Amino acid sequence: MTDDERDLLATAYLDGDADEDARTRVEGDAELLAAVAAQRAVRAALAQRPPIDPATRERHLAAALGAFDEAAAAPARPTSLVVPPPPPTATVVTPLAPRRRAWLMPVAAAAVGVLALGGVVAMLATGDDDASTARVDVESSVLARTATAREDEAGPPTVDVVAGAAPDAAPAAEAPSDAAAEAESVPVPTIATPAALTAYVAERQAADGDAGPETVCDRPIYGTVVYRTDARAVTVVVVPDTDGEVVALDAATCVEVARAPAP
Amino acid sequence: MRRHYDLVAAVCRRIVGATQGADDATQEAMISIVRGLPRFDGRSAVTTWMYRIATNAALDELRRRRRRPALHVVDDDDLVHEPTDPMSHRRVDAVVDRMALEDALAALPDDFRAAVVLRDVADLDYAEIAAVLDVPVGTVKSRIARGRSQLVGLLGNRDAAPERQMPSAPPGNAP
Repeated sequence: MTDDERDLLATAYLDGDADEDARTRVEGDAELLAAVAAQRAVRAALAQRPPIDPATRERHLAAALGAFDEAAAAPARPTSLVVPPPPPTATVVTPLAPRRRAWLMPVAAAAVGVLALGGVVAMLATGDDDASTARVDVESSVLARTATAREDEAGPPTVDVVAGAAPDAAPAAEAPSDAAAEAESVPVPTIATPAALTAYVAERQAADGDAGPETVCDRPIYGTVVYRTDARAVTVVVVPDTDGEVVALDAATCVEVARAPAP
Repeated sequence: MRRHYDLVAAVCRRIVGATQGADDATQEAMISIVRGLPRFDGRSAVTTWMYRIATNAALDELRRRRRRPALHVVDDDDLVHEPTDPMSHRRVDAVVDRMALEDALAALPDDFRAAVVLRDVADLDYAEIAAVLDVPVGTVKSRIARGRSQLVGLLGNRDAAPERQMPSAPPGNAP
């Protein structure tokens, strides 16, 4: 056995990564057991964390919080923990800048025409009015879901979903949709009282059920809101707590900002 | 932030060593974590993401340090130690033990040291370490095994010798 093999076996054994054969081999070999013991001693020594000067800790935390406030004050930087969804491809069209992208308008109009023609052909081919009805229903439900879903779960509706009743249809996505655009621009809610916190959770439960699966501060969240106090507005995540309460935690520091009864 | 500070500081301290550079790396890591929060995508555990930032800050500090010229070197052999408190030997032993561990850590290649520290200080599993260091899990296992083995050798030499063995300068990053 080479030194490398011995070290790898001892490390795997110590870290609980060894399979049954490897464990048996280690436990039957005095040299390997000695290597495990030596590595265990090193590990124990490393696990003793070096002392930390409390003043240094406070100075570093203050600098970090200062950097956060500075970043939050910058208008161009997002303050939400949740990354906004990628640009939708199916139902939402971002308004175009008229001067620089004016050439896209005729292209979009042509695409709409082609899609409308495709829809008519599909309807005639099936001879069933229910197809278009179903497509409208699906699209409406997707739009409604987009408007109410949380930022982290409301992934953009895809072409396949929207055109579910007519899979062969070309993407209807290029057509402008005011409802979808409105849904996309829903701002992060701002609340200021515990009662509003309770109402927010009730709304989220009605829409999505229990908190999660997204977790922040190691806890499942109902969503992200801005909690406004007399002193300032803080981006918080709303999480369930024990004893039938819900808590708003500062999204940056995980420090409790507000508490309210669960609905 | 407060909850995770001590571990971030410990990771920086173990990777950089007990120097002002470790403090600088810790502060840099904390600020980077706060500034990066809006971009955290949740694809990994938040602790894994924080340790990645701390590890990178510590390794950056080591690279900066190596670019700086050393001002002077003090040879331990020239120093005369005259303990005035006969009962202080236990405290001295504890400090010497800590210094020996830090010396031994400093003698490891950076890649080995980072892997060992993330395993034995931060208590990350192999997959998490692989994500932090952006290397395959097999490489993580190898680096931890070889790093621990070198530490055993360095600390064992110290225990066996009448005087503390000062490890030689790190030979550079290993694959």
